[in-house]
Amino acid sequence: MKPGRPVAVAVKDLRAVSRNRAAFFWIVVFPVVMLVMFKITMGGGGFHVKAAVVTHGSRIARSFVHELNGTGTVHAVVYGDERGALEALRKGRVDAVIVFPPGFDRAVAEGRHPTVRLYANGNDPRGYHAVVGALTGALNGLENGVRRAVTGRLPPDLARVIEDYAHPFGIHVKEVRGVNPGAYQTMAFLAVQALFSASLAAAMATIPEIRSGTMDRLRTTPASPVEVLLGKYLYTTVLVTSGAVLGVLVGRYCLGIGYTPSPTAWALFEAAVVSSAAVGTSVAALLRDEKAVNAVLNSIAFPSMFLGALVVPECMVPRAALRVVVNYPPVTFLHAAKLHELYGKAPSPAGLAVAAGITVALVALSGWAVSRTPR
Amino acid sequence: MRAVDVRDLVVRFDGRPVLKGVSLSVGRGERLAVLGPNGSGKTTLLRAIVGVLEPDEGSVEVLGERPPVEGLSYVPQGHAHYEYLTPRENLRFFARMYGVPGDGIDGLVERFGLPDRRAGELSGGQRRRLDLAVALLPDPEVLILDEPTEGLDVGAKRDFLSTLERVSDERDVTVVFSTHDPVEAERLADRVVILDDGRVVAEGSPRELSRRVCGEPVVVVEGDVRGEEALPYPYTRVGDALRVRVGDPEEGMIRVLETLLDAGSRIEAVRVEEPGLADVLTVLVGGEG
Repeated sequence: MKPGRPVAVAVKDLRAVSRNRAAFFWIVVFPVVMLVMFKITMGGGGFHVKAAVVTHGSRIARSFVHELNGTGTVHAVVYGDERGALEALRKGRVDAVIVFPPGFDRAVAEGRHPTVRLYANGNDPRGYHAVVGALTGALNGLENGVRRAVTGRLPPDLARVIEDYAHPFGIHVKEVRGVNPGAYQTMAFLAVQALFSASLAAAMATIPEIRSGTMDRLRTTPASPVEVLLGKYLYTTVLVTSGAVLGVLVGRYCLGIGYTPSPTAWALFEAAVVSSAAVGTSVAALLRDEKAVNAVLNSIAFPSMFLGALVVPECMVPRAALRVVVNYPPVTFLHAAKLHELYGKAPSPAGLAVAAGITVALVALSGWAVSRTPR
Repeated sequence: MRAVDVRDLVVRFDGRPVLKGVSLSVGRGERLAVLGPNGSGKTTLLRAIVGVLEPDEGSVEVLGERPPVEGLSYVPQGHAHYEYLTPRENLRFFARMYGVPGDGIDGLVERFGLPDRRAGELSGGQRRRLDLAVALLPDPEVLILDEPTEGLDVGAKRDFLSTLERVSDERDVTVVFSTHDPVEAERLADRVVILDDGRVVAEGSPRELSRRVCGEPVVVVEGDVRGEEALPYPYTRVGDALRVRVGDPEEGMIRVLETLLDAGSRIEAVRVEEPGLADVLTVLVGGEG
């Protein structure tokens, strides 16, 4: 084998893809666009709720509205009647409605235990839970404030007893940052690169060779199929890694994501790229049709990203699905990289060895598929 | 040692035989056309000759060895180069693959008139010339071309055939090409193999084949023709025209004219009707081409 030949194949493919605007967009630019989307939607800074508050003249409610508007997360608007507020909720003009019943202040003062109603739109289940969680927290804070105001008028000993019985323990929510703050969005971006771009790049470098006849031509040259295939893998790895580095730099210097993947994460990412490229090459060589290959690769990449919990939180993915999908080698490597970067968890050598074994088999399959005689 | 030797070649696609025991042999420096209608097995035969297709039965040898072999170059159907690269970049890449120095590339680019633009932006004729230039990089002894003029207009086809003819003469290279155009085969080939439904149905030089399949040339004499009974050739009379079957049209025409003029004929027109490969195809495969 002459080392110059795989390099020549890789350089030729890189030159060709840099001139093919559509391919360049999908393989390099699109994942960076995805990174920006991840930053915006998963960065945590974008959460905001618009709440309609029906006060029915309550001073406590008005002061609650003032407090909510001071949080920067909830924008509270006072509505005059409950029906109008609920209509606004159904039409999506507000995310939640909080109704203080008529005579609320007096009922509180007289210890009649009035009920504050909280409505949220259930059409978006994840949004519903987020809104209810945020506003329940705010209402709990209000309740504590009111209770302290009421018990404050009692003798201190009695007030303490009532406080303790009413609330046997307190809750204090604090955020603990993971090992690498900002890793979440970057790892999601790397997953898109490895699962989507790598398989697509490898496939798009293979199909035209087969369809135009250049693969047949190469097979009549002294270049061996191994040399040509190595060139394809080298091209895919260089292209996708360049896109990944570009994304990490954009994240760091343009989006304020102060995180750079560790060497372990990069190594696992490269393993995922090779594995995914083997899948892309095999599918391309077996199907030999651009549209069919695109459909199959997208059908593999997108469910893997979501069900492998690579671009969504793990708590949102059914455990059974995750257990299955994580065995797909590119997901195995990326999932291990994510756990390593977010929580400092060391990858399981046994799991990686199995994934590496399957990857070797996939590379061999791609070699067979490419050199298989098309009839 | 023959340049190409194919014996009892059988190739099946999904169990269905596409080549059904093809045998042919090509001498060094010879130009062989594989002529046949679409679906007759021409591409399959060439792909088996270059070694990208494994025979199910039979054998293929190129320059005495099982292909692919050094000294063999292949131009597949269509545009077998990279459309996002310029001709020079394509040539440089294939030079690396063939393991040959790239010092002759500038000469090839100039000689084949290849502009410095991406191959995808070149005309059909320029792209075919680029394919040929790539094939010449390793200085081949045997050149295999699959329908090299497919899709070209008349002018581009003529230019390409001239280039191929010149190259094969200058380099004394053995050329095997497939086509479904009998005129192209007649112009370029020393010998023709006619393939139909995966079998060789006829083989020989274009002239031999024409005569063997369609008969000898006919000299047609029109006017007030007399003395035909003195002719040394068989003849038929169709109205005012006398159709004389001659062996060699040049010699035969002189003898026919001398005989008829001596007998006092007043001849208005004379022509030679020589059957071509198109007629051969019509007879052998029903005129499809």
